[in-house]
Amino acid sequence: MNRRDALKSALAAGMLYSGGFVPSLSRIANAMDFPAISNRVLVNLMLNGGPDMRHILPPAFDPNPNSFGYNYWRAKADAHRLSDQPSSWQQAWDNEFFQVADGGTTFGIHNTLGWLKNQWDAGNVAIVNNAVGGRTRDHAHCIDIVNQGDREFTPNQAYASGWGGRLAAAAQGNVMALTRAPTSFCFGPSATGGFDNTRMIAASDMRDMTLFDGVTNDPMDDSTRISRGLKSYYAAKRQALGNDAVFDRFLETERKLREFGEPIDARLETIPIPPAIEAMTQLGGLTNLDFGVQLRNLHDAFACFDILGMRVASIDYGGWDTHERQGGRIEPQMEDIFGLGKGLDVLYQHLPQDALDNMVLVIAGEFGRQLRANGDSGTDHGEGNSVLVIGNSVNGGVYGEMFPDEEMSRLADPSPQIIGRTAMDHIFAGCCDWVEPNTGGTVFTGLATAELETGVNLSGLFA
Amino acid sequence: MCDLSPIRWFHILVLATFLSACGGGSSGSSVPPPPPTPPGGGGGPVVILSGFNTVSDAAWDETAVRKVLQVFAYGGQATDAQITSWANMPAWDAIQQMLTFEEHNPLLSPVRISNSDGLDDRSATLRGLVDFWSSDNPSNTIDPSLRALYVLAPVAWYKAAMSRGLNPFRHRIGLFETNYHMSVNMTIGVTSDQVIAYYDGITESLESGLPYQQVLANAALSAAVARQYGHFTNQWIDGVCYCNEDFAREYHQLFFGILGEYDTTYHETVAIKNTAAALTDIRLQFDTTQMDFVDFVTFGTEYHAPGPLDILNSSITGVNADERIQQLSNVAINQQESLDNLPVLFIEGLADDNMTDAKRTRIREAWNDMPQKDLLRFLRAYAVSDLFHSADRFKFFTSIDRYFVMTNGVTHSNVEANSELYTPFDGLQDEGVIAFSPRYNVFGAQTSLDAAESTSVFRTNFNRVTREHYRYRIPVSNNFGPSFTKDWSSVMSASDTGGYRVDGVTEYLWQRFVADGLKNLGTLERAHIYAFLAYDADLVYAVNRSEILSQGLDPDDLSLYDFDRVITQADLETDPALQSLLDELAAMTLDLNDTNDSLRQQANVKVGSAVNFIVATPYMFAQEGL
Repeated sequence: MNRRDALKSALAAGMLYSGGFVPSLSRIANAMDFPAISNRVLVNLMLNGGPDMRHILPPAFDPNPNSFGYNYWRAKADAHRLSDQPSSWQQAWDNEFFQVADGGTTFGIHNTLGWLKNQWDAGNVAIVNNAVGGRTRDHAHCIDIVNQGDREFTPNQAYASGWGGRLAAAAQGNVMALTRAPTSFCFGPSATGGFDNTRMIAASDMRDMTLFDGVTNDPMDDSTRISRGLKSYYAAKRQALGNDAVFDRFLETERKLREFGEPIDARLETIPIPPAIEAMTQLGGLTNLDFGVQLRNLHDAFACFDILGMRVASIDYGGWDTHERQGGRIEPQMEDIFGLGKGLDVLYQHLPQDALDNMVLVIAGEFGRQLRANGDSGTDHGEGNSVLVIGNSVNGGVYGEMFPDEEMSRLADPSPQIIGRTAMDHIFAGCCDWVEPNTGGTVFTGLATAELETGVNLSGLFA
Repeated sequence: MCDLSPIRWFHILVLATFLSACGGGSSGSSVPPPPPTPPGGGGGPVVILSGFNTVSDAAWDETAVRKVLQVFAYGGQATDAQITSWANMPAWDAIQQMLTFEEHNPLLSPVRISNSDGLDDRSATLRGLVDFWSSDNPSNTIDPSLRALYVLAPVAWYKAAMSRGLNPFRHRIGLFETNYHMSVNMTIGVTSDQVIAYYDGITESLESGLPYQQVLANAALSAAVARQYGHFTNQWIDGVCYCNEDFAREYHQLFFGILGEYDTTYHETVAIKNTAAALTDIRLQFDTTQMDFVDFVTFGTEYHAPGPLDILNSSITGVNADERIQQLSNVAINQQESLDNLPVLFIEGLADDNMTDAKRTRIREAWNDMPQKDLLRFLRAYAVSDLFHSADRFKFFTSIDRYFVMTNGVTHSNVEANSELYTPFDGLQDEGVIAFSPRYNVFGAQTSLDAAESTSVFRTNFNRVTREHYRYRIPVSNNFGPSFTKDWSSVMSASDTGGYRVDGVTEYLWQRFVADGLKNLGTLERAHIYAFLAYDADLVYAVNRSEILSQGLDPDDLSLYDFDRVITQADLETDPALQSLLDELAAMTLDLNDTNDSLRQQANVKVGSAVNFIVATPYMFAQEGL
């Protein structure tokens, strides 16, 4: 019996029937208004800035000076806001982390991240280590590589399709860009080069998607005349769609707003924003209110699932470039996402069960950070990192060596990094296959040549 | 009639919220007199940079001039006569008048009647403008209740980009440098005063004609950048660099375009490390009276790394960060990666969303053709080149691009520019854009592709010209700050429009706002605009009305109208009745110069309606090269 099966059995026996797993009343009530979530959906949460995932998932402290667990804490103490005394490292490990294990790997989950811990306990979290997208340590370039799902993407290259857009196309569905501006992750494939965003629905505010349509029952009102004129114009103009590479996209945008705006409005009128979700968008809610807005959008997108044809959704959270004061920045931001009563916990409480069962969350940054704190209580750009895959169908556990011993010999190097051993393509392709069978190889055409850490088998990422 | 007060209060609320969020700011110290401005660029021999072939005289026409103004100066505020004059000059001569870095460019941004603020004769650094617009100077026409907000860099910048008597090209490039290329961010703690000093430092360096690497070096050594990246805490103590590498990396990557591909291991393990050391002991004082950091840095030696530093395979010497970075910048500007990437960054960022390898080659060739890197000469040469004026080029407008092209097109004087009626602030806010608060932090503000792919941007613009149609239609404005009477005849001549014929006015407005030589002013567009200019009504209404009249029915009986009707281009080009209607509408005239106030105002309202329509078409969101 693997780890996940064992956990499921335990759950069935009621052994792990704790806070995060009791279907909440709000979820039950809310779910009544949702359409059936009949297809699987990939939700991509991009952590822009290069998050130090190891900061929240560190190794156990070990008092042996030759151990990994000692050298990690020595090298990163300053980034954890700790002194250079081993006793402070021990204290941090004891007091600031949930201590968990998978097989022979013991590691911590920061104790502010209760939802993540609960999901881990439920066997829903896969931690794929030593993952790599780009290696230039250039934010913009590496973000593009991850979004496009193209390891060969060069800094001066024009955008082509993103892997979310390609997955949506392969699944014959749509991709929801729920960020403030669509990212290239959402761009769809084009037979003529570049990208085609016909399947992308950009919704930075699901509750404000309609075009003004004039004053009801007053056809001669000034505002009615101009809005009617434009509506008629765009409807006529769309009949010539396909002739103009530059301007057609605006006709498409107008079409999507007409096609989706009013039905979305009508649906969401019946589904008020749950107060707990609304609170995440207000001052005093999350550290990053924009993330709260995106989660609200995601909630609403599931509420309009049948209207939207959603198979992929894109959200993001920036601010991980922690060159200074890392601990004070990364911890509250991670809590926004993974804390109890915060981001994903609140979202999960308000989505129907079939949405949770049909959703996989992929959480990655563009690169990891160096193994050693810099002189400013932070960490500088690195290479490899951990990617999280979370879902009810995920075979939770640690994939790839979480704390390679060889790193210890490089701690004194000028720029020691986690060496990237597994191309993100493998992780993402596995998720694509789960969302829509046999799409991974279509979405990631270079999969055969993408590196994979020795001994790692991602074919079992999903149950 | 619309309710005027909500927009006003919303504007105030938004500005006040932003002021609060940014921690305030002060108007700062008195302004030193500006340095004497050098003459405006003309007179020298025509220089064509290798790679940039100047367009022929035939191709250099009014449309070409307007395209340059749209992309490089938010449309500018030049008179139509001046645009004609530039179009009739050799392109290189014209561009030297059009694009200058001086504080004032009287040809690009001439003062007009009713301009009592005298901006053309004031210090027009951002600091100078902040001090004037936030003051009680009797010439200041900013609403007194809003003046305090003009200590904020974004508020002052918005006004600078749309005011006559200044230089919108200077502010276009100033924004690009400080919000895209070398971005700093007020939302993460850079103060308004630091931003203003940073902005002025860059624009004054450009104005004084410094080699471009010195412009970059001065920017790199600013208080704003020190605060943005936090390296002012970098110290060298007993042989150890207590440093972060953030700006050490981005100095190379963002400022100069050096990613380290020349030798990735060396760049990571030597060049960046030593650049961090070169940045040690930059001192940024905290002013306890202002409770914030000051807007200048000093350079210490006590905690500065000693001895030569190996950076970019050169020995970089100096006793402090200032000397090191100035010297390093002279090396960095000639690195092959910088030579390859920096000029492309300018052109992609400013003017071309359809970059190709062939274009990159020519752009690099032009940059390489300048032993001394001169951004102004580079941009001028590009702006008159066949790369810019090419069918292979297009540029999507960012929200700021679009709003300021629209605003400069619709305002006729600084009195109008100072009216809250035309403020772009709330619209930009709705589109998620605030100057100096870049969406991607140091990686820059909203991109043109962001704007083009955003439903929110499209919807906000659409709803602004429909739900808030009055902005461009109000003929007499008394409730949005300075009062004015809209008078399109002050910029649009009767002779150029066939005596304000509908078709003539249509073409005038299309060219004023879209500037495509009427390329995209098709039958469908004409029909809709004609209807607004003729009847202040939409085409659907006009066609219905015409048909109802022809049937001898009552045109006031709205139950007879089919308001959901879609009239296609094919309908307009094949249906004789519709063709006849269009001919009739085209020949009607507007009473823009009538002596009767009411008729004249009605005519101005119709023009406003047409403007509302034009700026909501797809053609207001992008520009094609030809």
